Amino acid sequence: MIDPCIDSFNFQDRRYLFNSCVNTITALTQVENDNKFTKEALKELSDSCFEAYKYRLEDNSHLMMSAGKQEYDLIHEELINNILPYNPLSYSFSITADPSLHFFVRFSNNNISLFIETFLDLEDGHDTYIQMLKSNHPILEKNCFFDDAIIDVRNFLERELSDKPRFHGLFKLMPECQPSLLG
Amino acid sequence: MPTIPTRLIANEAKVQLIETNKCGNCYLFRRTDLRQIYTPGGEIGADVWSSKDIFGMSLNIYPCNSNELKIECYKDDVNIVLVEKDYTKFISNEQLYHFNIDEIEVQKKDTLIIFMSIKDLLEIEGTYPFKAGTLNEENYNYRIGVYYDPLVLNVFHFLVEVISDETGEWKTINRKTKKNYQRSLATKIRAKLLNGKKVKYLILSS
Repeated sequence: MIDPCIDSFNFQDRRYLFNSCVNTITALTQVENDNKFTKEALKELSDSCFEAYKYRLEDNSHLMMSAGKQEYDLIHEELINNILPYNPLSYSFSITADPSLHFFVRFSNNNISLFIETFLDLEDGHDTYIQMLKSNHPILEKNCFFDDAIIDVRNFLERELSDKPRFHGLFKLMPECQPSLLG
Repeated sequence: MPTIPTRLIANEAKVQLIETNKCGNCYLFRRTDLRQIYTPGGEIGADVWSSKDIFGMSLNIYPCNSNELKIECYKDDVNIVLVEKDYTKFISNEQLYHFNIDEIEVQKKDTLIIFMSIKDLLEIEGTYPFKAGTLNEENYNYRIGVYYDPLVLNVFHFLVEVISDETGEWKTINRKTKKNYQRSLATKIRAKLLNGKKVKYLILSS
């Protein structure tokens, strides 16, 4: 059945859906047959979001636009590489007038969501805040540089969502056996 | 130019009715200045407020049992704005004699509206660091306060404030004071609202 609210259109070689009833624009993305995001699809979606919100940086200054784009490029590549193995359900990016960059990722397993905000500060250096929720309860909250934050995110996702068997205590040095026990 | 609908004008009876019937599952509505609510990724955009907006946010209540209360209000009443701003707080019916109600002009905006439940707002609380990264770093507590703040020309007006115990007692954080920690506090609150999907978009039927 055709939805009277939805209209599709092309813009800059990409296809979008406009829902006039709820005033939303959704980018159509490439997904694999099993409905998982591909890396290219996530990148395309991320760039669509950046295009939709970059005016917030442009309204601030040319310098801020340049700094914001640079930071966005650094973060979204690294973030996508880290979330891709865990089957993200949705991915979103937006920019506030503050100005700060906001990344949202939701995962299908365990009701886990990830929020990353990087406040752009040209004088004192950018500041990143991460928050992860599991079933709407905070399980990780931290203020730090993005490079440190992404390590925590990676470790957390691996612990919560990885199918790999878990290892316990193997990273510590094991005590050596006594020679008599070795026969 | 249309004049202000009488349903928005405060009087003692209406104020008493809203005061005694406001409850956690009532929704608070806020107009935005957004071009679009959702990002292409399908989430509500974080630009739904700037950090400053979070400290002292004006909203309108939509009483959840409005049919039983027989109080006339509409979800998009928040889009009715005065041509000449007037934020006179309502105290008593006596004030009404000083307003030429029939001549107060309004505009009906066509802006996008978001809403949240009072309960979801009141559940937001936590800690934040003061003088972070220094030897004097301390953690203070914060929570959200929701206050009925009737105005003569908007009986449904509510204020949402951020309250902290940094002075030793619970006090409202003033949006006009510019302190670095306020931004990180605003970030935490915004994350809790958006990450937890507490903010919703009002779809108006045409």
